[in-house]
Amino acid sequence: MPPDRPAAAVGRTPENVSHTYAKPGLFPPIVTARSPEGPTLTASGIVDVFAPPTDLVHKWNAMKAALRRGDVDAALEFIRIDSRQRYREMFTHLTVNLAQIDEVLLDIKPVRIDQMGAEFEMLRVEDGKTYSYFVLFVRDYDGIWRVKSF
Amino acid sequence: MARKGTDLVASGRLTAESMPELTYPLERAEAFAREADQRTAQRNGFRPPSLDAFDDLVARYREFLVALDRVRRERSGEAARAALAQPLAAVEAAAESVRVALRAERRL
Repeated sequence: MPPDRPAAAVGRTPENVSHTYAKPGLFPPIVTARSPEGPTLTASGIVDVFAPPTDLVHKWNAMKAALRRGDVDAALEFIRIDSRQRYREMFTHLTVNLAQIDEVLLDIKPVRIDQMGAEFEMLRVEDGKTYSYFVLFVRDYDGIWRVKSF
Repeated sequence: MARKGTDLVASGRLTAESMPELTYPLERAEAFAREADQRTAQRNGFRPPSLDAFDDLVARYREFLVALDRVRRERSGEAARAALAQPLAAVEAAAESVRVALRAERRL
């Protein structure tokens, strides 16, 4: 956790105390209340400063590139840790040759991105109809955004 | 989403890999409900009726997903659609109740 405990956020009432974090991440602020007459009170917590990820399309394409060259282990680096076993089985039992993975996994477009997840869609035309496939990225245990499902 | 899930099962296009698309909205709805509960506690217990209606919608959708997961393995085509008709109708009715409550609260 990066230290970010500004001494400058001072106010006479709680409503007047604020701080804007300059970068995303998890921060452990400590708030101290001092009364002229009484003892000081201290409270701490965790602040999760969110910034939308901007590299998810790149990660998707990197995963496809790894599959295209048959490197399943490298592709799994882009899959959420808890989902890797399931996707390892899927990648090794695909009915298409991995070299032709671009016929199955197409480009993705963002739909909605917030703290809970980043929703993308992959449009694919099958038998003359266009289908929207759901691709979901989430923040993994280590804070890195990875594919949860597609 | 419930309608899409029904269509996917009826057309034989729903697989286990498709389920996250249907379960993710439930995760988001449950997270919203938890936040709303926290806000209720901060507002001296005031809870708008639309939140109760929303909780019911979440419960109906959860039941729908259970039914859908069962039906997708047991039936297909119109038999699957028929088996999902009642849980789907329950979701749609609950959703309408949320809309009615939001309109009454002038939030919609």
